[in-house]
Amino acid sequence: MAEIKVIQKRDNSTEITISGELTIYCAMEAFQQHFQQLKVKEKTLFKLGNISEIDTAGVQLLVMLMKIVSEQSSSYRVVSLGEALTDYSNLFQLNRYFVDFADISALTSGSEEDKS
Amino acid sequence: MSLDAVLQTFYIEAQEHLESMENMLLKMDEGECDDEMLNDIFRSAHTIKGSAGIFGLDHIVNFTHVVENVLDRARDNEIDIDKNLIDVIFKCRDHMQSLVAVSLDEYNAQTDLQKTDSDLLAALAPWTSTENKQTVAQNNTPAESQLDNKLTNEGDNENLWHISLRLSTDCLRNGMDPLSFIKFLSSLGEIKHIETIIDNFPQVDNFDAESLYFAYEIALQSDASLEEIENTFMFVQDDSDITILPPTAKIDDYLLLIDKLPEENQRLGDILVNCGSLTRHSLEQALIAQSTVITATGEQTVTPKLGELLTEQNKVSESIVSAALTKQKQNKSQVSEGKQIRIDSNRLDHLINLIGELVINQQRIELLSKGVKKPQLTEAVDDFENFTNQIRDAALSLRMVAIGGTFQRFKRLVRDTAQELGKEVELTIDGADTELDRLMVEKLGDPLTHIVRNAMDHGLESIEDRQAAGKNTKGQLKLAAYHEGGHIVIAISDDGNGINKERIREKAIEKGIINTDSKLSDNELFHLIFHPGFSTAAEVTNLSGRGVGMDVVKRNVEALQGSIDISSQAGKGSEFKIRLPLTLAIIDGFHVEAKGTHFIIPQATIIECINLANHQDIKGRHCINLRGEMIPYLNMSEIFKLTPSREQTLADNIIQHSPKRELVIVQFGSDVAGIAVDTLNGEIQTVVKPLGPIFKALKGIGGSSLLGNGEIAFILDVPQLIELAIANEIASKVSRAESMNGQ
Repeated sequence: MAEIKVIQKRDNSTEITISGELTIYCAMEAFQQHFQQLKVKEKTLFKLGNISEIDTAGVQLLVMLMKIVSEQSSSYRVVSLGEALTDYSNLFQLNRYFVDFADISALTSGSEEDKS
Repeated sequence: MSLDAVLQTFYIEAQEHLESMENMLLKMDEGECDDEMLNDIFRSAHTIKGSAGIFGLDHIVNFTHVVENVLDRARDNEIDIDKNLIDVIFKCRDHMQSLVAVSLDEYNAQTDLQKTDSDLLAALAPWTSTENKQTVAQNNTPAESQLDNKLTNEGDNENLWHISLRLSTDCLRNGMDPLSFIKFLSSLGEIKHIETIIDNFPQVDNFDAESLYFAYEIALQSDASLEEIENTFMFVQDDSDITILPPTAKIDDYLLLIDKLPEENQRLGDILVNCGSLTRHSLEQALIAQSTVITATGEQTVTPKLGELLTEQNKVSESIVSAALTKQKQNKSQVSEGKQIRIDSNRLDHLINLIGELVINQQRIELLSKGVKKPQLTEAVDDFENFTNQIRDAALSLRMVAIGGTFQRFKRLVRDTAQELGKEVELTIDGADTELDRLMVEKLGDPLTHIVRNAMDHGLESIEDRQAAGKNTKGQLKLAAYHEGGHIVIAISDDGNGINKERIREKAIEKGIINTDSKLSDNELFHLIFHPGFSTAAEVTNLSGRGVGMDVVKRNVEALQGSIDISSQAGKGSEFKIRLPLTLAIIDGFHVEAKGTHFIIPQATIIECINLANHQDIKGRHCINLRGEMIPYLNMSEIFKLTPSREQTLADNIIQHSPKRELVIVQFGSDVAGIAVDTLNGEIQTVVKPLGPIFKALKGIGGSSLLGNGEIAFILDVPQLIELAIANEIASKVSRAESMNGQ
């Protein structure tokens, strides 16, 4: 079961952290609870490094999430992909969606949480 | 289709492939080795591995991968197929069957299966390449390891297939992840490119996290056949749009594909170029030509479809476009309709039971309509009966299966048993197309196995003995099936030693089954082998000779309303004939009455009906002379100790005479006897219902049926009654002879 945290930060950014198993078994619940009504700030950061297992339903959910974020005119970045997502992304050649920006310091330095 | 249903299909398909493998291996074992057989075996192993991979059944994938590699080396003539290799492949096939029967968790818990795994892989070692050994040792999923390498490889564009997948939106929900297909495709060759298309994603409010929105365009470099690639998607064909373009596909095939797909043409074209399936130049030419066409008068027309455009440009003939489109339609209809469907046998049994009820109700309506005497109603009831009969026959035919499948399994049994016994045996199969009720076919397996094993163990001689007897060293065993007088006969014959009558007699006396002075016919003597605990074998082998089995054989066959005859000639061989009814569910019967009790005689056994009053009993015995033939008969009221019901007695008193006596002459095999009853009521469709345990001990009754008027009728077990009539006749002859001697 995936653990999802959406943190709105004071620097006008949103940080979305997903860890654990993101599969069809939890995709529906994850979407309805966390993403269907999601509001993001100007910048969005995805932390996906701790996804231990992912299947096609999980990847679709991430693509949908990025679509939601884009539609709110938020610029997004993926920081840390994790092995499971990297493997999937390589296999299906989805790297254009899941680019791992390793150096996130510029984006995250000085940021503080305002709510979680 | 749910995941369980898909898995069930996998098990059925795997079973079919394993059977096919076995048949091919048997042929190869007999010396009939050709490339096509080897290809068939390889394809079976390959498909099982691939399908297992789709379901994540890694224990099957890992083991089968090694077997497949050995087979592939044999296909490439890198190794020779000899008797030893065939033996090992046989064992591997059996092990694959065991692996298919268990889940991955069960496999992990069963050390014996894992041990067989390693034993067989060690046995295959002389034929495996170093590469294969490494794959197994690392215990990688082969598909995955191949995939990792192949996606990073760059090669030429020969044998480049293009696969376009618009899978059913229910795909994920049904437990099928495209990940599995891609992994399997990678085992067929090298995936050069995958384009995952996300154009079909809905708006957020309409997003269903369990639906599949991804579409895929895949370039696969592979030597595989179209069938092999198509089989990858066999579990998701329904509601999916799958196009596979072979390496030989022309530009117009691709353009037709672009035209067909829902995405925008230019974008699809780019995807195909990215895949390496099309060149940029050829795509641009066609797409430019396809863009808005301006007529000579300057009026803008509707953008033509690519196929139409290509035809106009004379790049491809109209017939080719139309043929391609027709083929597309055909492919779609084949996928959606299919020529065969699989049905759960329980559903079929339920249908037959319902039809049984329909038949009973139809008879009830017929009976009621006789009281009304309205010609229009009679006509409608006749039509109803006609259609009911047709429905009955059609439904019963659904449950009929050819016996060939069962016979085929004996090839392997015969091969292995012959090897074990050190004998040479050739199995011949005749009448494999003969159809029998599925329920019977299932229950015939064990009896046939016992008879075949006995024939090989005790009937057929050793090579030395056959040489000494001047016979061909290869013993002949024949399994045959054919129709005979409304029954199916299954004959198992051999050209061995024949049954030793003297040994049977000695053994029967020794076991106290018969007395020293018992006079038995050959048939009776042979039937002693069905006595529980009877065995003439001097030596007990692990195949037969324990006396357990032949009595079970007889019981099983009788439970199917059948009988067994044995014929044997010393030194020439034996034949076991199993006679079975065509079906057990609904039969054509003949309704008779004795002392107010209703009986049904299976119509297939009836020769004729005569009036018993016109024939005299021979010397006080229940036996008549019918056109020179002595026919023993049984009186139903005596046999079943029937007493007339109160209504019957009253009716008899009113009529003032006893009912006339009728004799129904019945036949089973070569035996004929008569059944004496009071009234003949005529033909009737009979729904066979099993008897309750209270009637089990009652000889001569095989089942029961409900009549249209709600009364119960007993279905007579004709073989048992004939046996009884003949036994009674012999007994009365003997007692008469003894009393004459006494005088």
